Amino acid sequence: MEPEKKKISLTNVNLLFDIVIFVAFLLSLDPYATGHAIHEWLGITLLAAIAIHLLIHWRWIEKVTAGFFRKSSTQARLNYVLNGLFFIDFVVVVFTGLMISEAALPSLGLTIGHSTGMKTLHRTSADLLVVILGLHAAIHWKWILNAIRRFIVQPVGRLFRRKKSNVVTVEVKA
Amino acid sequence: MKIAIRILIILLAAALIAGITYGITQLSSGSGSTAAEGFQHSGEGGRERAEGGNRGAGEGFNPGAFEGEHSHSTGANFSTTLENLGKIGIITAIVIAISLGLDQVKRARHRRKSQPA
Repeated sequence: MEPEKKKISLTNVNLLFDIVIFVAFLLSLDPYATGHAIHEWLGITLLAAIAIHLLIHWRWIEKVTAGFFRKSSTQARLNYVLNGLFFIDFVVVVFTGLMISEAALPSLGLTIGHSTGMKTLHRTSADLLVVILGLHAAIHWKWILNAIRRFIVQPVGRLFRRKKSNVVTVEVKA
Repeated sequence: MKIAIRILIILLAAALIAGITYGITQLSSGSGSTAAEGFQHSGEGGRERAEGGNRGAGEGFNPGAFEGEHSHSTGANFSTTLENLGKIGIITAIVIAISLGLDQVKRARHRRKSQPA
């Protein structure tokens, strides 16, 4: 008999991926703590991560784009606009970050003159990104709560329960 | 193939946004319309630096991130990370509270309508 393959749910992958993106995002917003090199490379990596996040949710994007003016609900429309703003703002943050890069681009042999306008725009758009992320999390709070309950709280709880029942079995045998 | 096209769409969108951003910043720096650019073009480096110091002292979500005296950190300090986490939490909590409140209002209205007079 072949050993049973464990199925990994897409929601599980999604949740883990989102948690990783969220933590990386928080860290990248703090160049003070991480240092410039990590801040810049993390920002560039995050852009790739956001692209993967979009690929995971591509069906939803297609669906809402196609029915934006007809079928979609108000909540879906609001979500779509907010996500669009999030993407635009994130690209602006990464692009302006690259333009004022002090570590990532110079390490590749590229240097671009620093512009104060770019720095201001980088800072302002990063501030705005925090607000948009808060709204993004708020719109998906039910999904986040359900996923955390299903994939983190319940499995951990089951683990403890199993341990408890093992202890009881040992006691009975003794 | 499908994924490649999707990635291409994302990259094109990103490139478009980056291009627009670059265009806007170039235009604004050309006319010296922003205060910061104005300082740069008039050669008032001292004032610009002073502005950077003020900004570093605590304006915005990332105080002292790039400029100003306060950006010289002594070791890893994740206070800004925690601060941002708190801000995201507060925004999320406010929006959740509003949405729950609206839900309650909707439900109450629905109950009132469905009750016989």
